[in-house]
Amino acid sequence: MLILTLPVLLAMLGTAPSGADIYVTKCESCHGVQQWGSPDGPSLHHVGLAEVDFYLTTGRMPAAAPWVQVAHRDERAGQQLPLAEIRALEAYLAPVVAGGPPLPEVISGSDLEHGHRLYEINCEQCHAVGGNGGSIGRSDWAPALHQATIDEVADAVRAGPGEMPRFGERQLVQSDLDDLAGYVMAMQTMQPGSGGPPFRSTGPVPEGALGYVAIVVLIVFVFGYWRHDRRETGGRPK
Amino acid sequence: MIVRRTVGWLDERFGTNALLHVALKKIYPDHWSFYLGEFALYFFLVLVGTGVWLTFAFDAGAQNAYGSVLALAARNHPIGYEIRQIHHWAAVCFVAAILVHMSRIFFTGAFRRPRELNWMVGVTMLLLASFTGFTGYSLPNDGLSGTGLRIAYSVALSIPLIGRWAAGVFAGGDDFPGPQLTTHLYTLHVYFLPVTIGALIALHLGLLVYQKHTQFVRDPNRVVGRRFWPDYALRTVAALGATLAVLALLATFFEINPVGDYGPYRPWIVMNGAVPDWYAAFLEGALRLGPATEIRIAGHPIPPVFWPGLVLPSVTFLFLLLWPFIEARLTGDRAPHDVLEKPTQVPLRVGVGAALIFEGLLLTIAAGDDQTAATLHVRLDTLVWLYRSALLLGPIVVGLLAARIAMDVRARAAEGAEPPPDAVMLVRNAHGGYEEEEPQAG
Amino acid sequence: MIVAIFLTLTIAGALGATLAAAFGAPPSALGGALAVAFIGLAGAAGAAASALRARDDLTEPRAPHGPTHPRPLPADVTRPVFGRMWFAALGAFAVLGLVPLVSLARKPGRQARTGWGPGVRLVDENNQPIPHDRLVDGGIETVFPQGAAELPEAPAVLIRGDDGGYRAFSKICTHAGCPVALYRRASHQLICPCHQSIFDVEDGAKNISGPAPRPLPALALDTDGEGYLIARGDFDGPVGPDDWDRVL
Repeated sequence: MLILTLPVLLAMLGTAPSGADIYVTKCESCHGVQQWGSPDGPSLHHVGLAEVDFYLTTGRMPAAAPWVQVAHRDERAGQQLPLAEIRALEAYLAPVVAGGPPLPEVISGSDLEHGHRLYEINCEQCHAVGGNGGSIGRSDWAPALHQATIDEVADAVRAGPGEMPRFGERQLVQSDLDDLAGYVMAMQTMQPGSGGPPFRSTGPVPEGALGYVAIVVLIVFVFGYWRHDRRETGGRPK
Repeated sequence: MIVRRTVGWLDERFGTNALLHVALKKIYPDHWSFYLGEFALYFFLVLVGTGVWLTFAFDAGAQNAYGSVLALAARNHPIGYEIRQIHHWAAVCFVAAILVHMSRIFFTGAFRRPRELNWMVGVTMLLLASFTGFTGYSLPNDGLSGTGLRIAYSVALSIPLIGRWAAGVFAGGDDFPGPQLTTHLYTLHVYFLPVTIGALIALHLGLLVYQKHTQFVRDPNRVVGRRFWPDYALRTVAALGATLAVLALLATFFEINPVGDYGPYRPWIVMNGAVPDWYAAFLEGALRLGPATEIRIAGHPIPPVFWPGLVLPSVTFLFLLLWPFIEARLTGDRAPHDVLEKPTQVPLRVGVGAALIFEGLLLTIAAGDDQTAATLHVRLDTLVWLYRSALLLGPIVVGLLAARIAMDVRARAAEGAEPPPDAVMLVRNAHGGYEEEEPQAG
Repeated sequence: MIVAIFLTLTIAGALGATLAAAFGAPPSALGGALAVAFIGLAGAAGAAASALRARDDLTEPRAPHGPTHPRPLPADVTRPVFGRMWFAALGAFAVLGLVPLVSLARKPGRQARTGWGPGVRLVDENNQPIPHDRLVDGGIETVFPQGAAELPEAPAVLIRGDDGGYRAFSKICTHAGCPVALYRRASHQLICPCHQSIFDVEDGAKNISGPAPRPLPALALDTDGEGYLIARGDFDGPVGPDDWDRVL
């Protein structure tokens, strides 16, 4: 009995796997032994820690099925690796990925109006109003931002993962990034049940659909009333 | 008591009692589908009522338009919020009700002689209602509606010969947005369009009362139905109450057109998923599906937006407008009709109607083709080609299929009216066996 | 009676809504009370109508269709008065009526509405000039001509490619004038979100998909003595959607 539980006990004693170990077991098969990539996964050289952190913390990576476009995973597939392992992996990869956007610092900015302006001109065309996300052509999707953490937002802005553009430090200075990230966080609390109307609009499409639902409700009312009335007064059928 | 005195006072001066007697005891045919037009009317009345209030609260100058809407309709101004929400929901429902009502008229043949004029008045009101809605939701000058205006401006520009003139008059200036754009929209939305619709409604109802409503009961020489007072009047009030209730529920629980989220219009900013209100969505779909070809006549370009943006809706509108005459010519039926038909009685009409509905639905759905492509994980350009093929072939297929089904149903109904001459009636007796019974005489 | 119950609802709802409005209750309360009032109205009227047990097969005659044949009008009414010249006069007034309509006409020139020219600095939305290291590789920004940012055909997009080189194009879509704001960095494509026209950034913003009929006109760039980005001239083509008068 003891012999069987020994490996488990050892693992539980905190001999955490090293970054190298994690890479070998979870990443190497697609990204290559020395991170130069393979037909199944791109090279990691000079991509920057911001990008690595984004993919790991949002759970887009590790990808069990690399042929499923990672863009199709919604905003948070759910962080798959424990934070300690992510940090270990990042430490391991740091020399390789250097040269690209580093891990950004960010705090939630207080100038929400400025953040809104930045969102309107830089983000809204893909991520839509309210961070609802939207199509970016072909069959690809800019994800909704309702569950993003502030670090993920900062990572994405600096790293420009996938088809997303990169916003460097000269274009969006630190205070801009803070305000923008703060606005994205604020948008999340503007969801239903927080003082707004019970159902927030997500655009003219659902609005129009509801309009027709209203007509249907009215039709059901008159039809039901007419039929009921017919039966009551014994009217003759048409 | 007050009513009696007032009526007497009026009668002494205008002799109105005779008219009142006729009006009160008038007979109206009753069927649930006859209330659809009333719903449209009530939505219009609500629009006028809430609209009048809004004209006092809204600042139509381009600079302040957006800010004034935010101020009057913020959630911490509940009255303004409710009124604006009711107003916009009523607009969405108004056009939907017109369309549903129009379908009822279409499929039951109520537009046939002598009611062709009333049909044309109605189709015109559908067009005007759509314009009123479009100009109305463009008044706040927000990011979403401003984008739609820019597209409308480009469509106006695309008209051959007079494009720049039309666009300049529309935009109130040499470019978009012109300095008088919001003012033009305002006078259109608050004055010209609603007054015209109001006058047409008066004509529409007047014609309807004068020519008497059509009915399902097959008695061509008499109107069969309910007395106006108090019977029909009470039912009308019930319909009004239902309409208002539905609007109140929509406005309270479902937010519409959150202009605060869209930001003010800036020509270099656009949001993903920008589409117009549903009744203009078919145009949006047409613009997306339209080919990129720009033809030139002696060097003068006719931009590609001209065909889906102007020619398509104009041709459709004209076709709808003239349908009573088109159908009369195609079926050869030029007799006057007061009795409604089952839709399947005229397969041609069913086919054409089905084809039109299919086109409209397809174009409306195409307005969201980018979202559809992303949701279904298909390539957008593949989807566009699919929609384009469906656009050209679909109406023919759907129309023929619908007409065929209608013909079938009609034939079966004619058959089923009487049993064939060699039919026998089988009844089960008390012991469980079957025996023949003489068929009842005709 | 059911009618009385519904009317009570109506009264309660209407008064409730009035109170809600007076005391500044949130919209849910106000609207909810309104809904109650209207449901009450509908129910009361409907129940009252039902209670009438009125007949729905009452009849009254329809007027016969077809032309009427009134007695002929007296001769002094039917004698001809208006000859052809009257109609000519009417026609002349109709032609005159075109005058106010046409007078609204404007034939604006669409030249010189972009604000770009040789040496004009690029500025951002806050009117700050753009230094040459402003964007990182794969970055995009909306830019305007300095001093003419409010001109309708001015907006442009500045893109820094993977090779570090800058490109700029008009932001006004050649289809229907929406801003071509969507940028797919990895695919090097500018997409207009209105009707999904796609422009290939590596190929002079050529329109490769969607309903746009022409590429986005390009803006040639340079850097000035202080390291700020400037334009080398105007766009290399007309901006935005065409019209009849834009003969090329």
